Amino acid sequence: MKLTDQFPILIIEVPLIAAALMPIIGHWRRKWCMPFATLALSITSMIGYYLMLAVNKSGPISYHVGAWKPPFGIEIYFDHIAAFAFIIALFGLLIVIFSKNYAEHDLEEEKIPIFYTLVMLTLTGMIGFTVTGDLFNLFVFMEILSLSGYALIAISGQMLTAMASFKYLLVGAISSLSVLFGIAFLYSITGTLNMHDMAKMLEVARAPHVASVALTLFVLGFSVKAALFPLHIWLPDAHALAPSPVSAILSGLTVKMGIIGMIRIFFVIYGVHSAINVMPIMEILAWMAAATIVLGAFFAFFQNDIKMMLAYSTISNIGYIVLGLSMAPFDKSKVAYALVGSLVHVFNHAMIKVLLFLCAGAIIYRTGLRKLSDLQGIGKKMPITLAAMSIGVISIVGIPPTCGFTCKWFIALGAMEGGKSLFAALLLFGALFIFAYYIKILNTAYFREPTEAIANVKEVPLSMLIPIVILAAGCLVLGAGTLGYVPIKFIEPAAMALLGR
Amino acid sequence: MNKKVQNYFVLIVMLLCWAVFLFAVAEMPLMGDPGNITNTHVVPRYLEKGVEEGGAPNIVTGIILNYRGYDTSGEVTVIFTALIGVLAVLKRENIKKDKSLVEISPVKTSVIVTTVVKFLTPLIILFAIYMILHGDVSPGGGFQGGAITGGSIIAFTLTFGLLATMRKFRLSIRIPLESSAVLAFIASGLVAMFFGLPFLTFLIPGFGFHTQELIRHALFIIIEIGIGVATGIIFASIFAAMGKVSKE
Amino acid sequence: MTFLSKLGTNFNYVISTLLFVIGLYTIITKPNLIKKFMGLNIMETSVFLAIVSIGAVRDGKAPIVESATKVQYVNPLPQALILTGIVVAVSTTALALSLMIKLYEQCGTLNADKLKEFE
Repeated sequence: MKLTDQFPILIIEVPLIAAALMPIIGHWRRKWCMPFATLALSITSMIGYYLMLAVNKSGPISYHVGAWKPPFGIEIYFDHIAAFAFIIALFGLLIVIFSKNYAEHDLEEEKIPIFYTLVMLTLTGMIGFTVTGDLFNLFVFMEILSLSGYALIAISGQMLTAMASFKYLLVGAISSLSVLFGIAFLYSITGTLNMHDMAKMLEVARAPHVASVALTLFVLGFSVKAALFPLHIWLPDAHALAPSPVSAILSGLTVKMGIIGMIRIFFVIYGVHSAINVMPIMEILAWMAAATIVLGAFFAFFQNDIKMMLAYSTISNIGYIVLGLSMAPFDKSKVAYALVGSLVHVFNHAMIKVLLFLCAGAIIYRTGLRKLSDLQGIGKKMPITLAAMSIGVISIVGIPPTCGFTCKWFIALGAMEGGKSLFAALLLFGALFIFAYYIKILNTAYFREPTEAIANVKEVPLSMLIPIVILAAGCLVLGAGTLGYVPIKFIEPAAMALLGR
Repeated sequence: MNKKVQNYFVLIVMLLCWAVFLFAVAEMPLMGDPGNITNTHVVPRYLEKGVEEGGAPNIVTGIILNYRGYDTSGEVTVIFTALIGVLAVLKRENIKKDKSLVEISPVKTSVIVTTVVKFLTPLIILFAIYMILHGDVSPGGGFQGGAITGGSIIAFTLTFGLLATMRKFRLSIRIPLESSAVLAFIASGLVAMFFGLPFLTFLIPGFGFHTQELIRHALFIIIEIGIGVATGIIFASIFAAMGKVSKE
Repeated sequence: MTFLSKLGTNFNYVISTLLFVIGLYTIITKPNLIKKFMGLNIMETSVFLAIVSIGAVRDGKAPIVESATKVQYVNPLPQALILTGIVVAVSTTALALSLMIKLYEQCGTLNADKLKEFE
């Protein structure tokens, strides 16, 4: 085997090695933690980029850990969905660069190596979760990313963070257990743990009740991770109270794991063939998603805390993604607009939300204020940050020249095509609400006179500006012009493969 | 009263959930039937070829280390994550500043307890070493041995206090040992990668039969010892972080 | 086979699902965080019981091969999975306990109703 053939495993192992070595390096030379994390994530992103191109060129890559053929050993299956691992590594890199000043400024010195270790671990967990092709392995990686996520929320040690973290832990642990129980049910009727093998065995297994109960448990578990409407209670506190780089990781990347889990369950394991079995669940999911869109946007409108607002906006956007997933057409005559749109939105929302949380983090870093009413006229004091934030705001609303437009347009098209114009209307309504509350941010930032409290505020240091500017440029470039079609072109074959065409 | 009504409502919902579960349970394959799909699809290969392929008479060890070794690699990462998470929430103990309840307690530990613990701790650790090294032929293995080691260190701390114990395990020794399980897994996985084989392959072709077996056993033992040591030290570290009392 | 006799044979699963909902009930109704967490541990145990029961085989021996003669062994895979599951449960418990210690240091109570007042 050439070295490039080993890349599907190295993309998990490189950040894991970094995580294991980080406490040792931190004990020895505290200053080297951040450069080391940056180095490891740069290598990971390069590997991810190579794999993404390889998948695009010649289709999914299957890697057998320990040289055991799939049903017997663990398979790593790098397909178009798994290419999200590249996004995780890349955005992780940007977030780590951003965290340098945050960690030195806000954390106690002995917690700096712990912070970077946890960040590397949570990124490892997410990358593993997206690329693995084995259901139990997926559960193990889910635990890695969840546990490090809980700890990251409470790392600052401030009042209430422990409570937010505990709430997340309790709900998250229930969700992990229901996923594990689902795995147990499926294993008992299929006798295997490999996803593709399971799909084959599930077709011949005659146990519709067990399969439906397992599916319900999976959907419950992953909806908690993705924060769908009745199960979203943990998200606002956790995402708003966590340190800003951590909020960016949680909101931009971790909630997407729930979506990726659902994609694996619906389209890989249950698949097109037992569509009848899946359909009522899809209907319920669509309604849940619609409620999520509206309520998330509604609550976000009334928040004064800037990070709380972003957290509720995450809930609303997850609604869009799940709505798109639930409207995936299983009959072959229709074009899968909604599915393509929601898959692209997974990527776009990650980019926009990381950008917005990093901007919010930059503002809090300089001013120490997080209430919108205290931040009047901040646009004049921190022009670059706020310009980037405006781009993020325009993208998340979905105004044409930015990246947020295409995916929402596709989801709406899919809804119209599926004859569900009610959902299309709800989608538009949600977009208007989002527009209304983001206008509030822009209004306070630019059209008010600076108050006393922020009179001496300067622009943030370079290490914080670089990630923000890169992400803002990404939002613009991937939204319009020739590059605007790149994500859609990439995702389209993935959607077709998921639908078994 | 309102609370009570609420509780009854939850109870009814839970019982309904159970009823739904029972429909699935009634449809599941009968328990204990050798003809179940779980016993005929993947597992026969493990049972028939497990000894030569998996490299251990104890099939469970063979699965943990070999067939599904990558799960175990994730598992040791989970324990490592738990330790780092506990440290992120509570911070590591500081020998100069912190004491444990044993040290600030006005009642001295009795002579019987201290003598017994002093006498038993080395024996328990010896048993743990046996457990770790003997995992492939009998029930046991790295995690079990590590848990026993951790238990003995905790017993020692409970009798002699945090200061006396943690002086024996200095931070500069403990920190590398905590990550040793993850590193041992990665290192033995990389050996195969060096020979151009997939990660975590233990049978490396190109050598004689006996050398092959020897390499495989050596790799297994490295992993088992790594897991055992790391689990023990991680449990001790978690306990120290939780059990510390700041002196001020 | 009738519904009830199948339930009788699959007795372990019946108990396991019952424990699952008992755990969930505890988590939802008990105000004390430690009790909530015990509910979670009950749920964990119930899932482990279910998975181990899947591996059971009538008259099966522990899967340690000592001689070449053909013997009926129990299914070793669920046991291997459970080991991972237990380690995950221990890790979750450790993290949750440390969070509870921190909460108690900061707020002086572990009662969910009283903790709400701090928000």
